[in-house]
Amino acid sequence: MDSTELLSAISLIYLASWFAYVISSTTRSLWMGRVASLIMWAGWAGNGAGFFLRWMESHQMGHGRIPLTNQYESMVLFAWATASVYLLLELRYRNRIIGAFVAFIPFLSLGLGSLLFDTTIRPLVPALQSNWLTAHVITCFLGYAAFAASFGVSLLYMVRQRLDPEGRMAKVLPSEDLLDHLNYRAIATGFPFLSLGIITGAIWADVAWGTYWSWDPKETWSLITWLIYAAFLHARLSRGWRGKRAAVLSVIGFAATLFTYFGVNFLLSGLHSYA
Amino acid sequence: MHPRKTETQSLWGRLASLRLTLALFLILAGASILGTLIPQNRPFQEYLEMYGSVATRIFKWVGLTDVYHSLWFMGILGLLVVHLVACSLQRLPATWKSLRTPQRPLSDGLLKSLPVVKRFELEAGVEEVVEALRGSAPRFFSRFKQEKIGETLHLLSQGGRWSRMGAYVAHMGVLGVLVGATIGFAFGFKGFVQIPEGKSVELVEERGSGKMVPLGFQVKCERFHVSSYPDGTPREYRSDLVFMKDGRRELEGALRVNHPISFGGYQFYQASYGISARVTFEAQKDSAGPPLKIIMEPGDTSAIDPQGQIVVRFLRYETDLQGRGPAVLLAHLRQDGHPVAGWVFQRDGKATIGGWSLKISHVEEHRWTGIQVKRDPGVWIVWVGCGLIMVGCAMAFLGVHRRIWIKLEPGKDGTHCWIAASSNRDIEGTKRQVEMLAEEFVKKGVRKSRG
Ligand code: HEM
Repeated sequence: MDSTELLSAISLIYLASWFAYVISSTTRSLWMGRVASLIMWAGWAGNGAGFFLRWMESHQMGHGRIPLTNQYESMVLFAWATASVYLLLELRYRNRIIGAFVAFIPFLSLGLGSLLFDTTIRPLVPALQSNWLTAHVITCFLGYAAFAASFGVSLLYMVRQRLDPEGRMAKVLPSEDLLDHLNYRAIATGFPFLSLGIITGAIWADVAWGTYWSWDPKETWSLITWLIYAAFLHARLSRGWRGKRAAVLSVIGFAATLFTYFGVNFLLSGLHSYA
Repeated sequence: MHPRKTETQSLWGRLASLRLTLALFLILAGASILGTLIPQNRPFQEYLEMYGSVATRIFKWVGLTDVYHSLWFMGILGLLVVHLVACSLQRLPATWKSLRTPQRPLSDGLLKSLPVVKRFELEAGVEEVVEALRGSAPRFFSRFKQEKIGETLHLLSQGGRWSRMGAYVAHMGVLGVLVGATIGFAFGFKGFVQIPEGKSVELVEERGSGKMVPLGFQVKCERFHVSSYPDGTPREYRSDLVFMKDGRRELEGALRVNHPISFGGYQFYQASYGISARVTFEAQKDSAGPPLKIIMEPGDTSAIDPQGQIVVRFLRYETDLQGRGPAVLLAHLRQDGHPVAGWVFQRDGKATIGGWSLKISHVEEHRWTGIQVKRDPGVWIVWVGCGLIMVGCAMAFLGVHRRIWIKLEPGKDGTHCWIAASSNRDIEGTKRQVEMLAEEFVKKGVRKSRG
């Protein structure tokens, strides 16, 4: 089995885990919740194995490089990073319901990545042969993954608000305060990573082309995303920007993240023809 | 009264308000979006075709065809700088002072203002509780300062004060980036030069203005080299360069993508490459007399007749155009001001220009390397600023400024105990910490005689 086949199979494992999370949170079955976590961990391990297998395959082809250099590989990394961030959240806050709102993201990322994009391993053109590129991609995607988690938490917050506060579901869900806090923590984690991603990208551009910032659409959209999350973090310093409004801003921020990641590649043109 | 003073205060106050921060962030985001939706810095003709003449004129006038260098965009960035400075000047002294003043013991007034307060009773006396805690957890205990007021014992602890400075450090960083970028924009140089293999240059064309700028030394390209992977993907572009001053070879080096070379205050980057040629043309009128020989390279302009009436410009050279061999794109610069361009092939072609027939008799190919040349006196300030942003974020988000007050007041039968806390962030975690502390006290506060 090569890495591509393995990773397509893993996307189905993520799907199964998402189902299990949804079932466990609607039926409140602890047993089902454990199964969901177990499947998620299996998906996480398989995702990582696929990543390293692909790395080895590139070495066997004689032009070894870390698999972080095209749309497909970036989506494999995004799935892995999102799963990692989610599992950390689950370990830290001992709550599986967030899984029902986050676990579909690694599934979609791996699944769509395998279906829509070229999965062949190609050697690196000279501009991509840089350690800054590796640092740039990894930090950006850790940021994106934290933002994905904040997006899932914000969705959950909005659902929680619409529920009857005395109802059965409302009682199992984390409190609004906790969700709001998680949303903030996720963004306060993602923001430094996105900053580092933008900075390492600028250093790379400076080393490769002698220009650290050229207002290329991808760069510009990463700045727009950064500004939205900076607005989120500063808005929290004044009262009245918690809860609902924070959740809305977080969803807008994630929309900008997705546009930076995908929209720019397909709708606008620029230097970044890949992630 | 001082009406002027209140006015400036309110202007200053508005300049430093958090609302303006949010407004600036969102305006900058909006302006940046505009710049990605409207193609930037394209030829006028392209805008005309896309948007029509009225919209194009409006776009040009407002600066929407070059948003990021327009006066209004720079104005917003300038306002951001003023705003950041105003914020820092306004808040830093107060923050600094509140961090420097020592923690006061818990008073009734303070108690009311604190977000986390827990009150409970212990059986043991004050001294007994303190002894028990000191014995079981000396490290924990040493973090508290003790202060006795009458019979009441106050324990005070404060940590993570430095994290409050994180925001200021990050803001300094943002200023640094903007200042560094401005210095680079004002005093930097960006240029491009093509060096044919085996040749040297000492002039570089400035980007934008097209001016030829002397470097003060010569750069020679001894060899240009491309290597490929088995599947044909390029693996490396490399120019073997020699930097020479007054005829002396000062530095030799291989210039590769991602591996720039610094010399004489400039940085050099491998940017592109291509093939050019010295082409010998033969021009003849009516097949009479010996042909006229003209030698040209890309970019050259020359007359092809002895009278200098018929002028052509060598626009481009292709080694193998459409599989038909070497070809030259020539423009005939007609006197009526409407140039006409067309390809001339070496193999099968004779072009007729103004009654003269023109053919390519000889081609001498050579490779050239395209090198980006830059000088940026502000770039290190940008990198220091980036570093400060990261350090500031780490301070602000990893640290938590937390204060804990414990008040032990002897009662008739045991001790009245208060634990209160405040934090600039992470109230949840602070609450948990207070609960854990209270549990510890309750465990240790059992009267010894009972067991
Ligand atoms: C442009 C990029 C900016 C970045 C990256 C940035 C970064 C930060 C960070 C990381 C914090 C700490 C946040 C927290 O504690 O939750 C912060 C706080 C703050 N920022 Fe900014 N900031 C920026 C611009 C501004 C501007 C333009 C203002 C103007 C008023 C501003 C005002 C503040 C204030 C008042 C605080 C709270 C300080 C405190 O904790 O006492 N920031 N900023």
